[in-house]
Amino acid sequence: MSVEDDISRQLHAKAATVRAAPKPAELAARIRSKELRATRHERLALGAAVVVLAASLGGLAGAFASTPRANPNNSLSTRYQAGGGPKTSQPSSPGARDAPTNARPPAPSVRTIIDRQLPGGPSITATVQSFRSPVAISDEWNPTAQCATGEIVTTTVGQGGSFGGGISVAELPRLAPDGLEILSSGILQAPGAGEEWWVTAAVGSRVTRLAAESLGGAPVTAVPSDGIAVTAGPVSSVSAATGEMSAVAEGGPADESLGFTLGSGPRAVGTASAVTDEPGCSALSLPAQPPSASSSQPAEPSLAAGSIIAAFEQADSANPLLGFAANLAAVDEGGRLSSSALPTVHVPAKPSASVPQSGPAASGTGTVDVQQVSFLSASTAVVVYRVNEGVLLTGNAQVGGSGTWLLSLATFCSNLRSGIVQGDVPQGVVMGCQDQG
Amino acid sequence: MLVEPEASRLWCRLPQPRHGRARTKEDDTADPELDSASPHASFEAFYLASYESLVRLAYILTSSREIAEDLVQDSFVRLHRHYDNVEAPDRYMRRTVVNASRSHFRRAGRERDKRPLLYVVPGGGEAPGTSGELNDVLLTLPYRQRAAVILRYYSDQSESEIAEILGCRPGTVGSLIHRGLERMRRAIEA
Repeated sequence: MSVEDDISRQLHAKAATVRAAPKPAELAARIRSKELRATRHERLALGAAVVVLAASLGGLAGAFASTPRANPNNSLSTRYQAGGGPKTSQPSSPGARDAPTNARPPAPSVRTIIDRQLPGGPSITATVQSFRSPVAISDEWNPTAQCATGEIVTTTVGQGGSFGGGISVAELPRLAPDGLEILSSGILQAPGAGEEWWVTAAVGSRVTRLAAESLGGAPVTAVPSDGIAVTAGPVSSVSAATGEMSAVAEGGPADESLGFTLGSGPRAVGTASAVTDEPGCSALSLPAQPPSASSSQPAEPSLAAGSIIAAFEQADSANPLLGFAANLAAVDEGGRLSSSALPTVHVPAKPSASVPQSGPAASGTGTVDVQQVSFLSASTAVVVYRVNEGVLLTGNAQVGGSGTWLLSLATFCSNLRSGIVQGDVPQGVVMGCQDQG
Repeated sequence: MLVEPEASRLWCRLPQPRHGRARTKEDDTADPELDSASPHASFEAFYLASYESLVRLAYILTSSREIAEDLVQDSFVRLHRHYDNVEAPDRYMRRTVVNASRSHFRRAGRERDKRPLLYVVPGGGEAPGTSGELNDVLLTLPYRQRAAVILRYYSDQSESEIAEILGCRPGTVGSLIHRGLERMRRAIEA
């Protein structure tokens, strides 16, 4: 008998000793647990990008409006200039106007806690900004605003002239000593350098190291600073398809591990928000995207901004003559969602979406008011806008395959899930957006 | 909130995959007894039909039944998310289990680095009735060599199939198997 035959026989003999009965109940519990974790992650990461914060204009806005600049392009600005932070203040929400001025806390300072260059990889910057008084935090997953104190954690990741990042809210008090929470994550497409994932996590006081790895990739570690750790690494072929990641907080008696899906960042920003009426909380919108150490922008920003506005209006407005195909035409890879063979389904509006429940704007929806366009790079931008005078929303625009500016697929699907896009929507679109969930 | 498409109903015991194409009539009329592990089988049917064989594969890769079951359950959680978009769930699961086993050893390696005195090779115990010699030698092989040998001589996968699972070229698989067998031969003969 050859060695190969012997090995084969012994392997089968070893395997035959295992009798394993399926455990569907346990599997169901694991699936629910994973979905819960994913939801929690998205709530933290996506919600923060569009959070409507309460009251105090003097709080956050004071800090971010420290270098105000006239807006030359009808409320459009390219906020990310070399060496500087945001150059314009954010539009305030109605709640902010009503806030008593004597209740404003002093402007909190922004601290840079991480500023480093990964060997052969992107540069990473993270800042933390505390807000002392309770603010209302809400998002798609949690439409009832919660009053909380916390820190705004801003991450900027850059490589080869491309920049990405996210804004998240880490609630205070801090996590348990061994705790681990994913605050934001995303994928950076660096020209000539492939794709890089990045992840920002809040960790407990006993955690000495964060290790994160993409499925099929190698772990990359980072040492936390002030309870925040940011790391980045190359996207593996496996995780490029699934977006699946794992993170381990090391240092405590038992390592805390967490599975999550890459989702936030340039590829997925945008959801609905609501303002709380709770005493002590009032509203102010967060800056849409992190200040970037340096950034590029389109050669003609005004033209690009005009194209972006047109794309947002087309994607989120009703098109009675052309139907929903016109909406999808303004969405990057919107063709993937289309399936004319399937019937339409009625997508109801969510109360938090602040969209009329009836009338001409109730189907396919209504007027879109773009308030600000901020370029992250020559081909990506963050857009602050309202639909039907609802709450402020944040979305992403990017240059599509045809070279024109389009609404990102993630933003469109987020709007669909939020009830911003509503009415009789082709079932293929609904199901396609589930894939984006 | 998204409206649940009429065509996709909840399974009685397992949550329905969130992502997927519309299930067609052909899907529903496929004979589950003919090939319950086919792409047309329901997730639940595929799970029930393939669970044990995947645990066995993971067991050979990790030498621990508990870890094997844990990895396979986790792999099914991953599959659940993408099930309706996966054309060949059996191939997908084989690849996921092999990768999950590798990730397990990586994590175990990090644990070992951190707590060298407390570390015990997980599931290092020998299964009754099998050759401890083979087991020992298998566990000393680098993971890719071990996986290639096991996929070739236990799962009867072709070199191209193994290459797909391991994410390498078929030529590399031949080299991995050759070097793995050579090491095993030398170890057994020593």
